Amino acid sequence: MPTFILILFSFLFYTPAFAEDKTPLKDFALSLENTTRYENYDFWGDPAGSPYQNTGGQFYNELTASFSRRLSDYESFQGRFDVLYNDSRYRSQHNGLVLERGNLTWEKGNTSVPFRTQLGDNFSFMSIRTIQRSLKGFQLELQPAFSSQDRKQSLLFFTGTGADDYRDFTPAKNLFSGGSYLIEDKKWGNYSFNLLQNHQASEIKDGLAARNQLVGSITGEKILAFRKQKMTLEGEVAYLKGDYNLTANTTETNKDGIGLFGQFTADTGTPFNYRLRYENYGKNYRPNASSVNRDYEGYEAHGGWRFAKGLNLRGRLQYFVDAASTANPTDTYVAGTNLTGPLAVSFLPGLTTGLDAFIQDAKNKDRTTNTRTANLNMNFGMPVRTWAARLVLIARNVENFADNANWAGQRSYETNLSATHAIALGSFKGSVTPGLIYQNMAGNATNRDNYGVNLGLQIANAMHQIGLDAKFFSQNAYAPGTSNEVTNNVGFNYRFTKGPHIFGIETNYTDRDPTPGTAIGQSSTQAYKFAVFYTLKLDKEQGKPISSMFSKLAAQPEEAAAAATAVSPFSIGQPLQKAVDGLAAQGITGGLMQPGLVVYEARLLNEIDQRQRLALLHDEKVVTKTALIIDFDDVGNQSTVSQTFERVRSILLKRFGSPVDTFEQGQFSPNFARDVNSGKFVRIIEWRTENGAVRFGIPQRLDRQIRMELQYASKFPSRNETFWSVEEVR
Amino acid sequence: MVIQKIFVSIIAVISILVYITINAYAQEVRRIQPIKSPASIDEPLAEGIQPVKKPIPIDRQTIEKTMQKIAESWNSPDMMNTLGKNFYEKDRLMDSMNSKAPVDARLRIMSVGSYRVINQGIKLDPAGDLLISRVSVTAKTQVEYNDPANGFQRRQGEQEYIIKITQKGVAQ
Repeated sequence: MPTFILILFSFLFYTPAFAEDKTPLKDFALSLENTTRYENYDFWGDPAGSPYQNTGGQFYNELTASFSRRLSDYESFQGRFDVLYNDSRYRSQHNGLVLERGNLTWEKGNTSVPFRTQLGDNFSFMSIRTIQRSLKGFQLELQPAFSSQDRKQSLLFFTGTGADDYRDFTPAKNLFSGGSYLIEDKKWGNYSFNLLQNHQASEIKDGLAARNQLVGSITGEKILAFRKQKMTLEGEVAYLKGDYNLTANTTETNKDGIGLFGQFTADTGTPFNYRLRYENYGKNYRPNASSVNRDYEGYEAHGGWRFAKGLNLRGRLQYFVDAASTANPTDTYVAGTNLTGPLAVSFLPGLTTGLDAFIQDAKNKDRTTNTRTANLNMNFGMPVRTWAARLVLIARNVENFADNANWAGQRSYETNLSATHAIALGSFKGSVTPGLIYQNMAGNATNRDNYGVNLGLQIANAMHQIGLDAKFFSQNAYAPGTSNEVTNNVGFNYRFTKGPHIFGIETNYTDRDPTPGTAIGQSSTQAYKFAVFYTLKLDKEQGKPISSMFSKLAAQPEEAAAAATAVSPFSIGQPLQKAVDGLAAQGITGGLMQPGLVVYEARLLNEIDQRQRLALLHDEKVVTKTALIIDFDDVGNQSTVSQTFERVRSILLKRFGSPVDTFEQGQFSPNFARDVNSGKFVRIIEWRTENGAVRFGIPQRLDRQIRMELQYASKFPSRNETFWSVEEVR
Repeated sequence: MVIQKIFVSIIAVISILVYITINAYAQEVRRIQPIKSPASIDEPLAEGIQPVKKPIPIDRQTIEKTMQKIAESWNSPDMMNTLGKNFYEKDRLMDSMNSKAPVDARLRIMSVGSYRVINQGIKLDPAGDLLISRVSVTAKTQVEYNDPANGFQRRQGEQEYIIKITQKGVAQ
């Protein structure tokens, strides 16, 4: 890639800023990430039962180097290189040094024709029906401005090859070259004209000659508004001329194919919305860089209804024809429905559901294929005491009506039950998720029962992360000539992160034990993978010397932020002991120590009579979050609840001023508690401070307690996340 | 053969950690990604999405964790939510997975290869701005299931995944 080097050096050494400042690379932001990884794989017993076929030590080192430079508000230059040194059969097909990806991008807007150009890896996309893939090559986009701000245009040119890396880089093997003109007009719509050429070199191995194809397409999109309705009309007409691969070692040459696409999407301004879609790809429409099926026709109608309380219902009717132009096409009819969101079931508060069901009829003309498939997939979630429970039920039934079929039907059922609970062990916090699975299959020689138990555990503190995943799975087959099998799998991950250093261990152990085993030639297998890695990340901001990249390596561990002279109960970032002493000096004592937090009975809002508790959350050294928890007297009393909430809110508005964000959903009602626990009632008010944010509201909790919380932290979860309470304080 | 076909067809736009849907990231045809110029300052990339001032690197840990989530959701009810809104033939793929894939088939990530951020944008959010990155990732994977008659089955492959990663607390 000599061109890479030329462009790179021209930017490094011939920019005006460099001429003024002799500090090398000062004007560049730099980032280096290096990972050294050693893995060891082995197995005992039947090789066919091992997920790992290559045993022994596997080593690789991957280095990612990226840089960027902002030359002005409208001009920037950036690059990135992924270099691998490989001695692993799992990581790459090449051993030794491999340049996997490389990209240089230059964007300039303050010129008569704004442009963006990329050399190396780029993503080339014109439409789903022409090209949508990563290429290694060159791309140039020009965006000449119109005099009107309501109209924009773009010219895109690219050439490149689809290759995994730059080792043995031979673009002619599979070279794509294309151009696209796109115009977007607020009044008339968006239209593009696309042209793509693909050349595939001859292949000695499969005896294939060189192949060429040319694809042209015109696309259009127009938004129409009629009263409250917003309708979008999209379409594409495409034409292919040339050769394409029919199978791995056969080709069709000098063919013509047409592709058609149309879609009408309507938002009616009511809870109802719908979409109609049509696709038709001719027998010879097979672009090499597109994922559409040749000789295919599809008609689809989708409709959706949004219920007021967050429930969404969707329905679909679909008709597909595969091998459409042949004497034996396959017709597929599908009717399906989908329901997601919270369900208002009074005796199951907080229940959310996902339901997906469909019936599919697929038959070809000579009836060698003739099946009807029914599928039901139900997914329920709800808080149960302090657990977040989940139940998945799946049922499938396939009926076979094909002539001369040797099986009439096949069915399967699956039940999956799991529950997640928050845990705290010292400074570690995380969750544990035990689960059960049961599967039953029958028909078409599949008769069997499967059952399993699994356990997931994730805990972490500031520096250490531990993950454990253990599964036991037993398959019990009843058909003659089959075997039972018991599989045990344990995975363990550990990460240690400190500043720019990350150290990790990954292990996986699998034990597969078929029974009767040797009767059908199988015996047990035990296999493992052990991996250890070290990652070093270095960064340099634009304007700083290169030495700043290494300052983190030499720096002492970061000290906690200096505490304010007058310790506020809401200060975060200060040493825990200092915070406790500061509170004691203000008469706030008697804190109850729990893993990761200290809880005080303290009335910080004197104007409020309700019970108040102050919680300091910490990582053993520093206070990371503070929370004031304010109880309601009677959550069943709508008027006192709303009055108490409004009183606290008005006090906080006086103290903190105007909030930066307020999010309210639902009304105070006799069903207030139920609405909070189902996520329908939300109150979140936020203020920003110099080093964090303050949030007040009524969060949803796993234990279903209803209360107000005032929290101070460096950041908060999205307001869509209703479970933001300090769960540890009950 | 059925599972091979299903396996291969996963190569497309996949959304991970999605709090929001960005139409411009999952579309039928090309759209203009505006080049910032004196005539088009502060032009959003899409509805509610602002361009980043400078590229923000996505670390390998995040990519590997995301790929692991994709593998865990494969052939489970969660897979539907993992696929992008406009994933081509999403319904048909899911119907095939539900009716034809062995119930015990699982996807194992053998190795995560190189990756590259295709484009980035920032979604402004009072709870902390969200960095939304569209990333191309190469990975070696293996579908595994047990056939009671023929024993343990493996189907290996190497694919390019186009994933959308939404991160909190890293937008600048």
